[in-house]
Amino acid sequence: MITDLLKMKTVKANVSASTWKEAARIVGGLLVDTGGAEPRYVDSMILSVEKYGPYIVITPGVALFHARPQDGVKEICMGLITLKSGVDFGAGEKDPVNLVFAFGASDNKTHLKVLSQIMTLLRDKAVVNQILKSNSQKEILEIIEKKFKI
Amino acid sequence: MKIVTVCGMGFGTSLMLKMTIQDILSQEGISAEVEAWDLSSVKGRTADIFFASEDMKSNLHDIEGKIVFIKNLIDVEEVKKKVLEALK
Repeated sequence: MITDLLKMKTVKANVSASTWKEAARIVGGLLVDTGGAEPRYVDSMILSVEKYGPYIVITPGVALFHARPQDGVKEICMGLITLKSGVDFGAGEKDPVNLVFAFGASDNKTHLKVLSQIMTLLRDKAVVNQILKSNSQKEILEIIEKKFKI
Repeated sequence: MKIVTVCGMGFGTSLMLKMTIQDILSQEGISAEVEAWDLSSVKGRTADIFFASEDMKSNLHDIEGKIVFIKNLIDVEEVKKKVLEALK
């Protein structure tokens, strides 16, 4: 579940970053600091955008960084940051990005479930706006938990 | 009918697009095989229709088969419109 992965230590509100790479380092750093991934995983996340383009900007304003499990994932993990001011990814009308996820997948089944939950979350524009307006990780977590409460 | 979604590593956006397309097909009662591939698997293989993010356009020029680009990967309406159009 997305709510098992997003915790006080893997979420940060109102982060300052001036480039997409800086944003990647910050959100990727949350995975490394909490033991979910090795530092080289963050390098691979950045490399994949340099190699394949900004397609990780999945919807206007939102990026989902990831690499392959074999690029240094220790266990399934996710980080989320909101940016004080948006950064450009070179993604045209989908720029600027102000909501940034990093995702490390290990096993395939949980992975699909989490990706599907990210889509559910992002399709709810009101919830996305609430997250962007939040000033603390606590607020962000409460919004997400409320969204997925059965 | 074989539909393939493509992304850089076959682990993120292609899987999201695959799930969205599968939902649309089942709602419409259309049966088709949907697979998610990474970019390196595309070369020399074929499918009836490929789907990918518009931001991957420059990486996907030698594809054999029909290719459809999606702007907003989580927008069900955009994906649905383009899927149904491609299947005509």
